[in-house]
Amino acid sequence: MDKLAYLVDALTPMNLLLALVGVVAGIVIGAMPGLSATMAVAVLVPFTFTMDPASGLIVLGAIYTGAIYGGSYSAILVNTPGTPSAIATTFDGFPMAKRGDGALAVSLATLASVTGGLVGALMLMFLAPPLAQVALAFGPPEYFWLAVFGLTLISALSVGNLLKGMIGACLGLLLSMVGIAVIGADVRFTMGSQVLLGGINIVAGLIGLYCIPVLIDLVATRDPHLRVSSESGGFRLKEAFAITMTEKFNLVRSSLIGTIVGILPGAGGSVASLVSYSEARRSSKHPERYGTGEPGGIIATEAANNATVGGGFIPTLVLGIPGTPPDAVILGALLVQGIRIGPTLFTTQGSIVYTFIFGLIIGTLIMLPVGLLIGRYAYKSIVSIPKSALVPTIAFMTVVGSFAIHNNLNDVAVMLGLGIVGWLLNRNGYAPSPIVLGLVLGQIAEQGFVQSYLIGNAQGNVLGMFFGRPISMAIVAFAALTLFYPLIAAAIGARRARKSPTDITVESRDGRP
Amino acid sequence: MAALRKPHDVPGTALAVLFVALGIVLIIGTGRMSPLGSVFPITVSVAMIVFSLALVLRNVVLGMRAARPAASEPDAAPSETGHESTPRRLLFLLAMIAWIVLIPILGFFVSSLAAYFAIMLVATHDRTPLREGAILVLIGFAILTAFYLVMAKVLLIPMPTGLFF
Amino acid sequence: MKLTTILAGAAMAIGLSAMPAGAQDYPTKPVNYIIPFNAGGESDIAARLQQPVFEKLTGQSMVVQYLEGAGGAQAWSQLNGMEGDGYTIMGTNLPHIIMQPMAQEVGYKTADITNVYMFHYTPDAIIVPAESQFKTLKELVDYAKANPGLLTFSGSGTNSANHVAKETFDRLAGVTTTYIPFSGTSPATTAVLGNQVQAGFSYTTAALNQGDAVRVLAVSADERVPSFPDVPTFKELGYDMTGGAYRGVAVPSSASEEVRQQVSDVIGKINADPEFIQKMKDGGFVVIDVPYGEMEAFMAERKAEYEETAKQMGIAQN
Repeated sequence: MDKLAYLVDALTPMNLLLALVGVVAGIVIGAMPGLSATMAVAVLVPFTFTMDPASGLIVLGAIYTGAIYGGSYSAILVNTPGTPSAIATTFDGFPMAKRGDGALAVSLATLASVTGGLVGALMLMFLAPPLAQVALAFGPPEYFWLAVFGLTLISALSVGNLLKGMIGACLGLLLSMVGIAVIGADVRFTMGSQVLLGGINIVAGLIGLYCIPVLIDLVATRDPHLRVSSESGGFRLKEAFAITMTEKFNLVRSSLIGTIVGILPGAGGSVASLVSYSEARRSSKHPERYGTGEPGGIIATEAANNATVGGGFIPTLVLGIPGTPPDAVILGALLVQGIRIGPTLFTTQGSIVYTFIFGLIIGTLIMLPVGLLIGRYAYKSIVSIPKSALVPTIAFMTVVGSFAIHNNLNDVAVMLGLGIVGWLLNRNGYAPSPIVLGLVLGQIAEQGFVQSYLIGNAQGNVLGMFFGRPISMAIVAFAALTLFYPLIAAAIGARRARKSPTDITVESRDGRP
Repeated sequence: MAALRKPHDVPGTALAVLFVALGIVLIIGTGRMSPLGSVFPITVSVAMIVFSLALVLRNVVLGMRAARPAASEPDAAPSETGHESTPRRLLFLLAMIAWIVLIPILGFFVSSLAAYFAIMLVATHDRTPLREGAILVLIGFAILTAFYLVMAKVLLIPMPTGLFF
Repeated sequence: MKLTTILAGAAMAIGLSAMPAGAQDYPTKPVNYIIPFNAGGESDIAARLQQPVFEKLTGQSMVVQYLEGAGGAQAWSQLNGMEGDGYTIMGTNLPHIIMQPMAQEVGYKTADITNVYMFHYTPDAIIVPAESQFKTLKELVDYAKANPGLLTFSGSGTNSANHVAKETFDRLAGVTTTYIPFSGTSPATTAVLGNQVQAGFSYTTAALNQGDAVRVLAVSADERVPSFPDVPTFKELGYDMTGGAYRGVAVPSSASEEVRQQVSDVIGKINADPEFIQKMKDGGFVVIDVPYGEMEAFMAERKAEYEETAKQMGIAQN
């Protein structure tokens, strides 16, 4: 196959070294909350100007992949997603780490990330032009419904107290509206303060809502941060592999969801991982275990968010429309290198494109050994550092991380403020995750909604805009299924339970549509 | 269901009332906005009010129902263990707030150093041997310095400076 | 002890950076170039093109940073709080810095921004999908006249350059169309490509990236843009529309006259670099030169023009 010729180009020792350095740098940066993949890539772009285009792209791709994966460490070990893509990793990763399965969780995240990354990159290589059409098929109504779909996850996240979950989500949605609106340019809910003009930054919100409560409770007790599993000190790779094999459906489905959602400009890794988490939970045999340390949850989110790397490059390279913010930076780097992106790129500049894709694949593969090593080290140091040093170090990370978003202390203040509010709410049964979901999805939902309304109004067909489009309806159907599936499953389960308790699991699985 | 066992949930209900008030305030706040900019906030605020009212109603109903059978009220807060230290929590938050306030005055590095060791003290529950304490201080210092240098000199992030740096 | 050496080293570094730069030797250390938008937009790409030339000319690095938020207002409202030593410079955009403070309280006034150089503009362009029914601007105008309000234009943001262009076009052509704001040029262009809207107000730069997938009906430059030799200007078609989004560089107001002139000179030198000009042309940008000395007149002229449109849009408050 002609494409294999480019593999040789990508395999030069120099490129391999660059990929290795890129992956390591990416993992470290991604693991720090606040230091995002976008920032990692942006800082390194000038260095790539001196390299030849393919090598430069390989470094950038490797950093990007590494950073998305690195976000899982802090999610698992300190309950704070290093990047927004890893929000859903905290749901099950942190509970696992807390009960002493941190090493296993990190190994699972690594296996899933590598698989997801490979699926995304292979789709980019073989199916990019047709898949790019997906980006175009998604209009404002589809984005609106996609955000609604993401919000339905609240029903799953707030088991036992749906109302409080819904209230939390509304609060998050309202928080997302603070600042100058994209549509209408109104200044909203800033309380007259210029600090909030730019809105509440999602990353600052994430760090505050997830990390500050953990710290507050950590200083209050004598208990260690994480329990240490005594019986096994290694990677628990075998166990992780076995679990991954039993979750292979979940793995593949999540990788595909990740790729597809990654293609959508304006959705990105956070939406991809939330959607695939939601789907994994719905189709699981034990949905009730999700959120309490279920390996399937980690597999779903990590496979999905790494698949968005490859997926995001599809519209970037084919249409010249960046799928995610880091793609936008890389797009800029391409332009400076004098590479004209767009529909003709794959044919006219094939050598650079395919060398780059192979570089991406190599970077992803390197992530397996490197990730396991760094992950093990990170886990060990988190476990072995005494609490009196761990707490101030994490506190320092929260300050540095929220400061580094915009080199601005306002974001730090917002982070701490939300953290305190989040802690108070959490103590009274209002969990942080619905608030975060609202914050992340609010802008997508609002813009999609208002744009759909405007277009529908101009055409005199508002209802048709929202309910008359096939993709929209498919998303609505999935959202409804996710929302009501627990009820349906419970109803079926309860009926069967009266007959014979042992049938439940089998039946509820068969009862899946 | 946890909520059924302690149906009163006084703080949760109080917060719900607060959310109703917040929703009303926000809706009033939309008055000066353009129709496009206000439609979504109003919708979400209304939803929040409705959910909050529903929660209040549910808690009141549950509370009345549970009042007749001897209500064995557990602690309002979900405390797992007895020895939680609220003063430490407050001290920690105080340190964090002071940290942010002090950065523009003292500079990033110096204020971080002060806050870091203040929080370290708050998080120390047991008497630490001198040697171990010294090691912790060194670790902390090394972490802060390394980070500061990477951010200021490698990533070239303009770090806030004050009296010091 | 190590500690003291580290401290001394750090102190020295800080001390050095605080030293005032001499008149001739600007810059002597890396310059922070703050872009008030997210990565990947026109402002970013232009800055990225300046970056290597800056480094070639001065031997110092230029660090591009993003301070996005509130359509740029987040960054501009903070500009004057930054250090005016010439080592922190910020990208500015027209009509943003004129329209935003005009429409509402955004934390800065147009006069607060000390522009030292305007180095290019991206002409407005009307784009339609390649398979669109509109082959020429005339067909589009006829359709809009026959169906008031039905024609949808996508664009980036409210009260933005695209919005201004759309309103100006409506006024000049005597039509009513519907403007659908998106959160950036990329999603706005995607909406055109995906037939979510019938046409888009965009820039030549964005249109260029799409190649054959879009058709450009007209551009608002004084003369035809080199990258689109076959596309007429609005002027040729009888609509008096030129301009687009102008981009420049500003410094905090605390910067001395000397520093302002130095920054202006460096940007001017970059603008004169043949390779830079070529790359800008290839990217659909139109390079212009408005140095610090001519800034006042330029801004006054623009301001008068945008105020006209702002009145029509009903956003001028003060």
